[in-house]
Amino acid sequence: MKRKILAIVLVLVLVLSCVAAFTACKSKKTDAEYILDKGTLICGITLYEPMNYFNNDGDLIGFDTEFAEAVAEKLGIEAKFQVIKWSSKEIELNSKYIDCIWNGFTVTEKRKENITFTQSYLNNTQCVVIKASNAALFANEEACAGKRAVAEAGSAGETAANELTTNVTPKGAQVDALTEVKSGTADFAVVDVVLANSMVGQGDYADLAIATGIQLESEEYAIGFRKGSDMAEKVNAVIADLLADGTLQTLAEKYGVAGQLIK
Amino acid sequence: MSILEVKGIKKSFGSTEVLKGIDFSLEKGEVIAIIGSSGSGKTTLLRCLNFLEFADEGTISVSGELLYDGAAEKVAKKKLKNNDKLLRKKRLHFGLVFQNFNLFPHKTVMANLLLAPSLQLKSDLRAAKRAEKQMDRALKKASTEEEKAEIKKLFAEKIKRDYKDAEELRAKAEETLRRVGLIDKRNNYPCQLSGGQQQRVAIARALVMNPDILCFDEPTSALDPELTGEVLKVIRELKDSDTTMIVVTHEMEFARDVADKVIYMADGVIEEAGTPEEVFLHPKSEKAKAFLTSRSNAAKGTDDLD
Amino acid sequence: MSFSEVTLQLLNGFGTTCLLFILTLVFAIPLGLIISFGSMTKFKPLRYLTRGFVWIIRGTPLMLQLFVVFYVPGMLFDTPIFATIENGRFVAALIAFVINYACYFSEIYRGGIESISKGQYEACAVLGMTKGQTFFHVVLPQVVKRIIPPMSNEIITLVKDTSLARVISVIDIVFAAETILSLRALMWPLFYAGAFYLVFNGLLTLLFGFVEKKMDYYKV
Repeated sequence: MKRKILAIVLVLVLVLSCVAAFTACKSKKTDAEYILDKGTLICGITLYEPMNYFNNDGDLIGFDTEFAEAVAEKLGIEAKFQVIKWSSKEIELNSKYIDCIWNGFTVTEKRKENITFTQSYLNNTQCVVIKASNAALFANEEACAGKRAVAEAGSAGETAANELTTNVTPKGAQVDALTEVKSGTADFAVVDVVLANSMVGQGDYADLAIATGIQLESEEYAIGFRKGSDMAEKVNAVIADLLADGTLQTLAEKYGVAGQLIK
Repeated sequence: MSILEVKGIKKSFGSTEVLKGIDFSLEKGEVIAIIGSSGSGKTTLLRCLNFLEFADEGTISVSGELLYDGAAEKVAKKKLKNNDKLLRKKRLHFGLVFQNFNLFPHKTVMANLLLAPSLQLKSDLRAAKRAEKQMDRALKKASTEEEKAEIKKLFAEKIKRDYKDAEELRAKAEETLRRVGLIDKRNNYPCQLSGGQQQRVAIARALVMNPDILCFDEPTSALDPELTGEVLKVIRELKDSDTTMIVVTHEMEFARDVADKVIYMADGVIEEAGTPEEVFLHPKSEKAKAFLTSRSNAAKGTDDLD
Repeated sequence: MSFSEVTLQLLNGFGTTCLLFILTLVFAIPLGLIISFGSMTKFKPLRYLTRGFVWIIRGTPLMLQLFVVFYVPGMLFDTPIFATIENGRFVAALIAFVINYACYFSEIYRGGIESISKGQYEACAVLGMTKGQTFFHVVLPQVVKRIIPPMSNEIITLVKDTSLARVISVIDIVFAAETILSLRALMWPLFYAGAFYLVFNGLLTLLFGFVEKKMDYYKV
């Protein structure tokens, strides 16, 4: 009996000391102070063209890559890029392994609950990807009703897909959604047009196509910071500068997204 | 002086009293056979002597040295149980051959014999080296011859060991294997031997440790009848070379032939003790008479079957 | 993207996979032994604590444990400890794998140790061997023979489990293949990666078969 009590006491002490450490360690610094003090802005990315990708020399380039580097330079800090699992982006952000999500990140009302966005910098449209041979079957929005759809879980595409049909399967990543369409386990996928443009019609996805007859609501890309972070404001000021001096325009033209740039 | 003196051994498991006060003694070179029906406490007695169990009461002395005192404090007993080194010193006065052999299956016959003594030799050699250094230092300080002699005597005990070196140990192991007739099996594994051969290896393994008293716990019970003979023959030969032994056995004929003394145990007490003649031919207690009658009937029964 | 380019990138990831596999074994095999002692000790609080810990680790998904090890320090204490060390993600994955596999191994060891008969311990005792000598010279060698089949099972599972490390963005071979998929729209590298596992596990199976045969010189 004595030993049992001892065991319980030991466990309690362990738990209490954890809680004590937890409350003691929370720092008083604001997020901007934290980032500027350490001198690095770690951007969570996944690799895809034309936002963040490696060129043939093995250098990381892309619209978002150079955009982030330009912003960091103006703030006098260094931009660093961390390849993450897209499904873990929020947890990466909150556990401070990254400072922001800067990777063609669509602004949604739901995401705003947990993330503080900067101003939007690119227009993004969702599009419907189908097998090229089925193009005739997907002439308009109504044709999608009742068909099997796939989209990335929690993405803007998933919301759009739910409006088109009742049979939507969420996937871990946008690319997985395309694979489902290719293998015939789904009839169509709803993904970012930026991604679709870079993948559809290429490599193993050569037999896929964008359903041009279907127009979905436009969305916007922004940079996501930790909830309540004051860093978003600081970055907004820099974006305004970069827009004013034409830097962003040049970058957008370089990566073929000039038509979507928000001025 | 008796080589073994056991007095008033009592042992209980929970509320069951298995040994209710056992006294006996053994002279050097003597063989005692312990007989009795199962559950009479024979095996527990052997296990107490080998410190596999710890008697609740009573004393065990070997060559006049008190090894175990059941009247000692609880704390002292607990200390003994957890002290490998102390326990080893006491245990090595005895050897034990088990009913189920308990050979090490992953070692060859030779390695079975050598494992324990070579480990001990290694630690003894280390200890001896340390002691010699200490002795040299002490000798340098000593001025008179008498002092030096005194110091040498003091350290002699520490430097003493069973075997001089690995060579001597190996020679002894080989000689012992020859004694039990298994020298040509030295590189075999236990699983390649018959039950009788395994038990002879187990006997050899116990002998290499040079015990003062060798104990057998029903050494032939797990063997097929045609294999018991070879084991009993080895034990007989050991008696001829003056090995002191305690044999718990069901082999009445063997007990009568080989033992100098026979003890009949029933319900945790010694009912009958004496020479084989006294116990087998003129038993005094009723229990012993009944036991011996049932045994000889059983033996006749099997004879009839043959 | 040419075959050799893909091979090169996958090999890069496979290096990480192999390193994670080998280091996990190096640390988990001895740690498992310590945990198995803890779960067999006569000191009850320690025994219950160890068994409770093993229950939690074996009872929850490894993926969750990876999350806990890597993310929880940053979320609870505001200090992402693995951000300050080089290859922090790899180290975090290694820690999670070592703890997880040590717990599985500890149960295999416990089964093996408890299957050794009391007679072996008693034989050692009457020959004057110490507890340490008994364990290392008599018990352990016999346990090793008995646990080889279940251990080889676990170890082959570990080879494949290492790919879970990609949930905290350790660039292993599957992560590398997935990246090629999303960058170049090529699916075959993913199956090619599967071939790496297949060959590796094939070699391991041969190795375990060889070891089992080597240990066959005696029967228990």
